[in-house]
Amino acid sequence: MRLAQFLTEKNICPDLKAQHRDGAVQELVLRLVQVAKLKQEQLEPLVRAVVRREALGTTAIGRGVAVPHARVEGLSRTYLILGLSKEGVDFDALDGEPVHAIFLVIGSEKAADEYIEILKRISSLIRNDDFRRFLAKAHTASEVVELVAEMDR
Amino acid sequence: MAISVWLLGGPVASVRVRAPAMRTRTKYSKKMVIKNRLGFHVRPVQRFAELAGIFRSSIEVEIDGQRVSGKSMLGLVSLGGRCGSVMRITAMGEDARQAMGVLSYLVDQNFFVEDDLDKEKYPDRHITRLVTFASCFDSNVWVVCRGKKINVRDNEGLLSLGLRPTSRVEFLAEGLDSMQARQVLDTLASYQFYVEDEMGARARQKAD
Repeated sequence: MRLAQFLTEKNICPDLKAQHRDGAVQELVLRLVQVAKLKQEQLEPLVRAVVRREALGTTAIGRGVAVPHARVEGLSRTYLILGLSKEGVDFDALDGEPVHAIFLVIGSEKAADEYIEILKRISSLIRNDDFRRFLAKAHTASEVVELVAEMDR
Repeated sequence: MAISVWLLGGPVASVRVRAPAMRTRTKYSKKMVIKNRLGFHVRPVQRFAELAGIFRSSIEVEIDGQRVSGKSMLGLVSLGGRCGSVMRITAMGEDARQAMGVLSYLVDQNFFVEDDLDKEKYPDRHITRLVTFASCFDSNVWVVCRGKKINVRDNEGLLSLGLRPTSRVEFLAEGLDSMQARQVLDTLASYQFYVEDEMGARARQKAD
């Protein structure tokens, strides 16, 4: 499995406007609804599900990255939406630092192993100093897609 | 600590007394199986890293030959532990025993992830978690709630408090590892003792 399978240009928001968690989640879920062709009325329940999940413990895993997630019944596959923020978003991280990359993972109930594999690949990339440096310099979705394709091997 | 010995009205010697126990470097290592259905995902990892971060000892976790710091969420997520994976936890330092006690209980209890838990069966699990965590430390620990101060070893007293996962509580601890004991218990209480329905209820109020 490669992250490139899940990250195409339309799955990337290269310039998030929100500076707070809930607003950022809203922006990412809105993109998900468009990409996954979900019904508009699914937007709010999905935002609530992701925000509720954050209350069980932050998903900001360190080095300026968060992996908020929720599982949705009936979804045929796992979706990944990546949002970048130059300003940083307050995600209640253990290290107190704002996050600059948010990987929203929306999966089905059944695909537990796929979810763990996606998390493993994201965290392995983030631990790579070169990846983080290049990601911080990326301005467009296509640059991010290229970067992920090149470094997630 | 310096203790002066007095004889016939004057000091004759000064003896330096070394603080015991917590100064000793120790190493504890334990193999455990990840039993929860979704594996070592973000919730387990967040709880593990936050509790591990309280201790002065170094804490390492190894799965399938890959070893990372147990205090790093990023490192722990990168291990990709699944249901059935074997993890080795190694704690080294002055509070390694206490760290191992707390962390191995967390792993044993499926990281307090309650997705598949029969909640009706364990209505007092918040108290069990409190007492078990407190028992990992040598310090004497008291719970202060509604103006009452009860030693956590006093079962009857503890039950008489009517402690709820959302109760406002304070912990007092006395002993060499009192700082770690208080931080672990404060963390536990700050997450409503990881009783997830209560954590979810609070989040719903916030989100709605």
